[in-house]
Amino acid sequence: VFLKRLFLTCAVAALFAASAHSADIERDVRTGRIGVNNGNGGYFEFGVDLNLRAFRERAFLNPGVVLAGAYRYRGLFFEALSPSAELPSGPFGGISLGYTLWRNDQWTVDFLGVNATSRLATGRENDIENSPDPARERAILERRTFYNGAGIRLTGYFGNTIFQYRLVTDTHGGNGITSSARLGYSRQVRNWNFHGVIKADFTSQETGQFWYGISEEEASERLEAFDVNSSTINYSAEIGATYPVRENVVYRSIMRYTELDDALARSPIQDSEFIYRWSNSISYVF
Amino acid sequence: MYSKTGLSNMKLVLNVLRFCFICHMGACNADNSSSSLSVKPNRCIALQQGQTCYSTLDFRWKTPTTGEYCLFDERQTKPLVCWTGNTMDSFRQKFKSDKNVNYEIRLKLGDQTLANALVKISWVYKSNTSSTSRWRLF
Repeated sequence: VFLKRLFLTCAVAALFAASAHSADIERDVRTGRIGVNNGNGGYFEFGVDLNLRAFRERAFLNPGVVLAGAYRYRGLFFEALSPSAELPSGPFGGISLGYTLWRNDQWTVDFLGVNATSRLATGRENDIENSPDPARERAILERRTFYNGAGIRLTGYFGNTIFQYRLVTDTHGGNGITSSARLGYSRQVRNWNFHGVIKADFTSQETGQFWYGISEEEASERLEAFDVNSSTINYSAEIGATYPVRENVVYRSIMRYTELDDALARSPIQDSEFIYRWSNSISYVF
Repeated sequence: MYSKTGLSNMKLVLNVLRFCFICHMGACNADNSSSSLSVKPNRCIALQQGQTCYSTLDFRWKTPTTGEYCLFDERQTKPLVCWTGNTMDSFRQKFKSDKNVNYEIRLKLGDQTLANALVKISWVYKSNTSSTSRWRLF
């Protein structure tokens, strides 16, 4: 509880800092440093990370690989989010392909053609070893959660503050819609770059069932059948810092707290209603 | 009447006197080959193109034993520091810029540059990656 309060306090403080420095934001806008991306080009990052995931009763410290990048050409774009920066509860990272439908100096409207996501991280993964029915539990915990969506993304740039709204529907298996509203802020302090993001993620009942539900056929002795009976809104807050170690090397530290809606948190595959994730990575930028 | 030899001796004496006078004014040290300037780090790295880069620079130099010299930041008319001869050979300065900056050792009296060193600004994410690379919400 203490960690939770501490984290939320930090996140809120980071966002209040945004309004406290609004004059700097305006100056940056005028100098063209911040705003809509009009250029062609991109980058690719490859690196390693050490991440800590903490649930109510357990925590995991794991090494990982960072693969991230973005490329833009005449409005077409590709974006790949590092696994280490992915929301541990599900579908909000992954790979995006899209096209910018409209933009001005402050807003962009993107069409998202593909928005693939990877496996859930629920905190129960390591339980399989002690399971009375490991094959059955592994089948549930490692089942496909591929969400191939299409939708719209609206992004607004206000100095150092970014607002983003996204609405995506699953086109692959008809597994419902997801939608999110996010507010982020970044600030340079000497050569460090700090950021904070707060998010509200809406998940339809169908999508929730797809990710967190357990059918009668799948159910095991410990992972009983479970239905997600409503749509949900999940909240998360993130703070982070990035430092340019060399011309092509960056260090990044990200802490994220996610609070799951009860309708998802009660799923037997989910360890607790909240997830902390702290990732530290070193990446080479091409 | 003076002989040709006497005339050339006179010219020689005058040249020596002129040299000594110029030396006294410090200009005889304007020999670029005997002066050097180095700076560490000579590259400052910020995250996003256009961002201001911050660093602390350590300058080291060699100048002739006589004469008065100053270290200049090309962006400023006022010298960062001045010294006489080789009484000083290093200097530490805080750095803040979003463009390459040239530093120069010049004669205190006169604009002649004896040595220079460049501090380059680099960015991890170049401008064409602007909003995508800074960090994204996704």
